[in-house]
Amino acid sequence: MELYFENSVSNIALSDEYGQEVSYKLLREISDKFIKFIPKCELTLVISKQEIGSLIGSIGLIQANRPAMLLDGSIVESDLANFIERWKPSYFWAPDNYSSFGFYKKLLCFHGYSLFEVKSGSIKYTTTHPELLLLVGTSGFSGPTKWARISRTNLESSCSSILKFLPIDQNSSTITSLPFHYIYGLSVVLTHLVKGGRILVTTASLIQKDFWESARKQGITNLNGTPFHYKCIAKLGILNRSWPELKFITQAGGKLDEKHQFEIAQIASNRGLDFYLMYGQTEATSRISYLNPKKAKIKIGSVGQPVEGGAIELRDDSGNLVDEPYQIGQIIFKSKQVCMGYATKLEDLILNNEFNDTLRTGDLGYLDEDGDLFIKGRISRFVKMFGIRVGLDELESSLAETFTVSEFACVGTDDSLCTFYTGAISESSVLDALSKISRQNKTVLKAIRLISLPILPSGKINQSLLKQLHEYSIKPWVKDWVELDSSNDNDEYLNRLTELTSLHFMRCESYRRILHTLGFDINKKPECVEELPYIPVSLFKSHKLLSIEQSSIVKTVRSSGTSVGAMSQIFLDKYNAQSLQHALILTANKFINLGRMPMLVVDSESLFDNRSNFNARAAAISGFSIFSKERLFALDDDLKLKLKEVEKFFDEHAGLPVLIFGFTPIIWKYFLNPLHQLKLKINLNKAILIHGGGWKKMLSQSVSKNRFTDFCKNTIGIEKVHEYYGMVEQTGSIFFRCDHNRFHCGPYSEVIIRNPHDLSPCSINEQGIIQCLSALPTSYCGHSLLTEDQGVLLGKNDCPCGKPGTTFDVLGRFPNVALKGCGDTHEQ
Amino acid sequence: MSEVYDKYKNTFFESFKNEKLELDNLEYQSITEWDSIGHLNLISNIELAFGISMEMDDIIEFSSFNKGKEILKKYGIVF
Repeated sequence: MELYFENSVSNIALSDEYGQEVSYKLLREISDKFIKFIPKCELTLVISKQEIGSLIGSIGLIQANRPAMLLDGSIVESDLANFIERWKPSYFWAPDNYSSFGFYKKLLCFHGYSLFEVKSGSIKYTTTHPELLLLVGTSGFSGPTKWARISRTNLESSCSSILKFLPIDQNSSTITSLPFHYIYGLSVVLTHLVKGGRILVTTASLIQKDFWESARKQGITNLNGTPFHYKCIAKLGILNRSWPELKFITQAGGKLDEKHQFEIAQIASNRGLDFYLMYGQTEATSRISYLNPKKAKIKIGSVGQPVEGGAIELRDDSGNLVDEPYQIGQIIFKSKQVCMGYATKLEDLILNNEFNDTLRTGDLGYLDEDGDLFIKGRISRFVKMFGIRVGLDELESSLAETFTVSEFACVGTDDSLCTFYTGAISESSVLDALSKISRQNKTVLKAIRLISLPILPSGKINQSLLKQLHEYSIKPWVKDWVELDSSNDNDEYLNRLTELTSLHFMRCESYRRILHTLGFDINKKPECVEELPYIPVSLFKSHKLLSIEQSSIVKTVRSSGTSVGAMSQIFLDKYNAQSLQHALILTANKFINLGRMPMLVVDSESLFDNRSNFNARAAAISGFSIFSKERLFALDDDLKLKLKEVEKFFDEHAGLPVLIFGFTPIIWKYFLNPLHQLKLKINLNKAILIHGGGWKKMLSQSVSKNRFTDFCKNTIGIEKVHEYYGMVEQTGSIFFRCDHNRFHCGPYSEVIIRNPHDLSPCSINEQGIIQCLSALPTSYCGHSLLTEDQGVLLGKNDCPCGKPGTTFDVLGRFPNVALKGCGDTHEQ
Repeated sequence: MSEVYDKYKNTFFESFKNEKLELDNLEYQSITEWDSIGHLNLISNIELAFGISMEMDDIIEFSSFNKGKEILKKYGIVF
């Protein structure tokens, strides 16, 4: 099968919903140009998007026999730079306006995409093995690290074996429902092109009506999808509509559950459609086996027999051939389609064929007596818990049989197993079933309800996100300052916050609705922190924005504003509470370097009367108490200074550092002023005063920030005075003010100032609304909040004090926002 | 069991004001008394009882009865 696309009958090869068309003639022209411009064995990086311009690049390179690396176009630009550094391609095929490539020379331009020349005379660029034609990522994630090296022979064999069973001809047409950097998606395109068929390119997704309207209007003759797509098809009843041109449908990219297989097969047979269930892998250059459509309704769960030119054998753990029907073994695929091997680094691109036509798929399966293959999970999808091997696939299908309306996805570690589920079933019933099926004690099991399971662009379940979620639910999240620092321009911080958005989106219905209402697109990966979705902080008053089950709440923290009626509430589980504590220590130590020392809390102990329900003051005191060695509450229940006890406290610790902590107005009114009036002789020159909150009230008493500090230093004699800014909705993440009067973002926090009129990010020295980001909230949706405070951005990593981070100042509340600093709670 | 172990157990009983506590599976936040406030009380009682001063990280890591035993080993306390 020659990969040579020329067709005299139907002239149009590609078209899209905007009326763009690409003829076979143009495809030929493009590949001729590629041959002219690109020397043999030099790598071109293709930015792969669901657009005609992108696709013609891939097709052109394949036809021109020039090696191409197909990269998911949703990659963020900062990752792209690393990527280029790593793989050193000589050329890019990318959108004309890609800013990263702005300074490279454009050689060609078609349909909004250009061929950029990267190489310059002085640098030696990659040379590839002469057989190598494509590099395709082996995971569904954007920016993969492991690539399959696919040769021209692989691709030709694959196309020819597919065309032996799929009835594609020059009258065939399909719509692109699969990404082109995904081998299944690419093989659908190529098989149509070699036969002179037609491809409709669309950006619409299968769950959008536009997709189906385009497909039907254009008389598409076949559809190709993953299990996710077929679930949508079943749900939307697509195949029940009138669509006379539709001849066949194919499914690959993971195992379709038996319920849907039967449902789709039933509908297909009723309307005379052929339904091809297939099994494939990137390393096998797409399809490995397919089930004869005649058996689709009978052999539920089977993926049929190997494609022509290929053979399947099963091997057990010790590598012995399994030749009995129904005996499970690892599926080994032998064919000219099997790729040359993997590439994880530049040097791998010159390697010879290492796989020698034999692929260990890593999938487990058995053959029935007719020789039809059934997949029974992946070798790596096992966890060994306390010595017992638990098959996650098996677990998922057993759970799905028990609870037919729910979907399940399991992840596990050596000592904890977690199932994520959807639908209205109780956590305890899931745990019961999970325990019974896995034969594990309930104490090591978890069940977490999600609104829906997270799906990757490839249609597969996002396992890595689930693993992350599982981790959050079994231990506190602790990351060191060095690794995760918002003041560094690394992606770790952005990734963490993006992950938190997904987490809350999957777990909190209210949050999901709020994001929809505010018009944020959850599928768009933010390229910078400014692009992260954010919600107004006032929503915590009207909504319970929690991402954990009610039963996991160990602490509720509420804002103490009593003047406005409604209070904000945030909910912490055990792990989030612990990570907040960790973060507070790291942040404070970064700034002040506190050890543990005697602590004087300028407040009353009665704040702690209700231990599971803290107000903001109690929460902050409780957090800072980790720095205490011995603790005294300086005020009685009526906020009167406990004179004798305080004197005794300072006597005992004379000459030693002591931490004084409290809320600004309370310290001012009930501690500093009485001390001054009573003319007490206490030596406080070793004391460290930390205070925050409630400037509104201070200003109404005409106490400015400078006056407060001066008073502490000159009148009372406390040299070390540290102020912080923070809010209950982002407990644990606070901003300290430095000697140069700037608030600094800590390792977990970041601040963006937004224009009050259009909410665009402000530049330095421009005033606006403060947006606070925190990497900490896992149990409630508070990682990105638009506050009601006015502020101004002062700089980034350039404060004269020498401390890192974004710096800003807080200018007060927005005028129409009701007064409620958290230190203001005490009403006269 | 050793005297040290008894002292350790008693500190828990006293801190949480319950002499019938099942200690072996006791974890931070597993009973209402062992919350963030109870935690600090427990730590200062342990420091007092054993005459030690613990690092902040250890205070946070002190997340269960059994974990606590491991941590105290760092401070030369042998069970």
